[in-house]
Amino acid sequence: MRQQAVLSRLVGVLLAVWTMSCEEIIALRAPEASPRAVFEHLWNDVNNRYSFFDEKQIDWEAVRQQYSPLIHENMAPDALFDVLGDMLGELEDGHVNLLSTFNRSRNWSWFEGFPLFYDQQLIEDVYLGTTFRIIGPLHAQTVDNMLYVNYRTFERTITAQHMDEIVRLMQFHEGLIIDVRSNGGGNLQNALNIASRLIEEEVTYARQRFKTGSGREDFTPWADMRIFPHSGEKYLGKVAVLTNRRSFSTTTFFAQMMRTLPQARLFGDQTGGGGGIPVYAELPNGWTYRFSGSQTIDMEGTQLEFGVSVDQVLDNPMSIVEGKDRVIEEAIEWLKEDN
Amino acid sequence: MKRWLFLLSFVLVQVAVFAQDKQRALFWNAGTHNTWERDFAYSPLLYQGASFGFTLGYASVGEKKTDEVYLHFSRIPMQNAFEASMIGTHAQVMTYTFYKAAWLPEKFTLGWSNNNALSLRNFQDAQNFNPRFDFHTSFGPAARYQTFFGKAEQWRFSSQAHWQVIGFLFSASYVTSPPDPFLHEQSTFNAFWQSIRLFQPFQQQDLGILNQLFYQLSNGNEIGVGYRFNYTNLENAQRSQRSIGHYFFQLNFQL
Repeated sequence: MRQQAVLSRLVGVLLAVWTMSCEEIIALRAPEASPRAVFEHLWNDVNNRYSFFDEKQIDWEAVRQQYSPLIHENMAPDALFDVLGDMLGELEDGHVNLLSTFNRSRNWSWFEGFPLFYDQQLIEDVYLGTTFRIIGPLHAQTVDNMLYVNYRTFERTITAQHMDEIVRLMQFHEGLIIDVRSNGGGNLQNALNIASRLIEEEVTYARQRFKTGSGREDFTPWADMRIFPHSGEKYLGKVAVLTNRRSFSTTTFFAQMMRTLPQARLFGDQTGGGGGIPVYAELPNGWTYRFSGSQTIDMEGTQLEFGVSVDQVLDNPMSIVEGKDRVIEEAIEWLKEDN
Repeated sequence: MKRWLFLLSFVLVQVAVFAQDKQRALFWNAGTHNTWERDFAYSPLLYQGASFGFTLGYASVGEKKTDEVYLHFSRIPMQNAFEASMIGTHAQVMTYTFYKAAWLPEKFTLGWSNNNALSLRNFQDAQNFNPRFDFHTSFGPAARYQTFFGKAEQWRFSSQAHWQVIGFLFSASYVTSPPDPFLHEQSTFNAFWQSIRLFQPFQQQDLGILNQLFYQLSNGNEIGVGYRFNYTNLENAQRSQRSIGHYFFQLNFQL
């Protein structure tokens, strides 16, 4: 009887000790982080989840054939980074980057080589001056009886109070100019916060879908993207929106919102695109990367990835007038029409 | 708020059901949580960390049947080998029901368990589609070994284990945080219904162990220490894995 009791306790102790080592028994190993393993992981994940292969007619398998021979086991981290960065560069997408502690790969072909028609110094000297209003992230000034609003990045938050002030100021102006040239994007909600003050009824401005699997056609059904009118004060008069090739990502979405409004007109050059929402991920060696994981089309089915066109194009360098911003001048001219 | 009310009503229902039995106890424990976690949608790397977690529970012990419900919660900052950060939040409602069978050795009971577990993973370097999550409700067999010892049998040791085999799973999608059916227009009910996947044996795994050692005080309450381990491996649009080791100090209050 005593022996049985001792045995029973021994079983208990053994059970306790064994189960308390479960964490060690089940602990998983870190993934292999050799240059080859990192290359394969990156190529495969992009192959499975990138959203624009067909639209850009990219043969990703051919890209693999091109870059795979450049990988060897003893290559230095910066050499590996360069190969992987160049491989991602083949996607020609501003939402695709490789990030390490020592560099960030990018493809800026969406604005490089194009005139930007935007001179910040000229804007400050001639249009904003020193008496402009600073309304949160917005710089506002009266120009020829129009309210000129310069917004440098959608990463800076626009609140309801900021837009209340813009709408209030519109009582004293004949038209509104929103300058988002060279605005690289940011938070889509900021674009919606502006647009919701410029409409009276709900507006569908685009459609969006997301990757759902590794197949080239594995996407969710298209879903409408909408702007809902703000419940408070609004401005429903004419709006001129200024864009250029460096207006990217959320700025492209904003341009598309404005393009659907009958009282708005776009001036300058088409936006740089960026119609896919970037997905972030991590490689076995700790580097991170991002890539587009969705598609957005306008109401005619055109991909926003390739930019939103403007109503009044200014793509001739000869149209630059010394000491004046020709895009702003043309916007003012249009705003004055029928006023 | 609605979710908390739902959780509260769930617990009250459990209490009401268990209240039919004789010996009842409320318990509370707290201690360190050691965790590793991996979500292949973001990274093949393991994120590890330790923090403080706690559990509230209720037990109803009858002659033939024992019921237990545990509410576990922890929020754990984790890092990978390259010092990238992730905050993991785990909430779990776990129930056990054990039956005493005549054919079993005296110290053993068998029964079933139900696990309702939520994991939120907030990767600090991921600017979009964060946090990722998974939730599963599952059922499976459970077994327990329990022995009393000491002059007045005032010491109690128990070791119990569960293995989840059937249930359902609801988790983040292939690239986004919300499941795919929530990304296009349809009713929330339909989207939820379409998002549910079966929790099947050998495809999804959830298993755990709970060891506890208690000393009974003269007033019938118990103080003790314990160790809980839980391993989860879920396969949906992407695979996620995690393990939790919880060393704790526990107080049991007889009702």
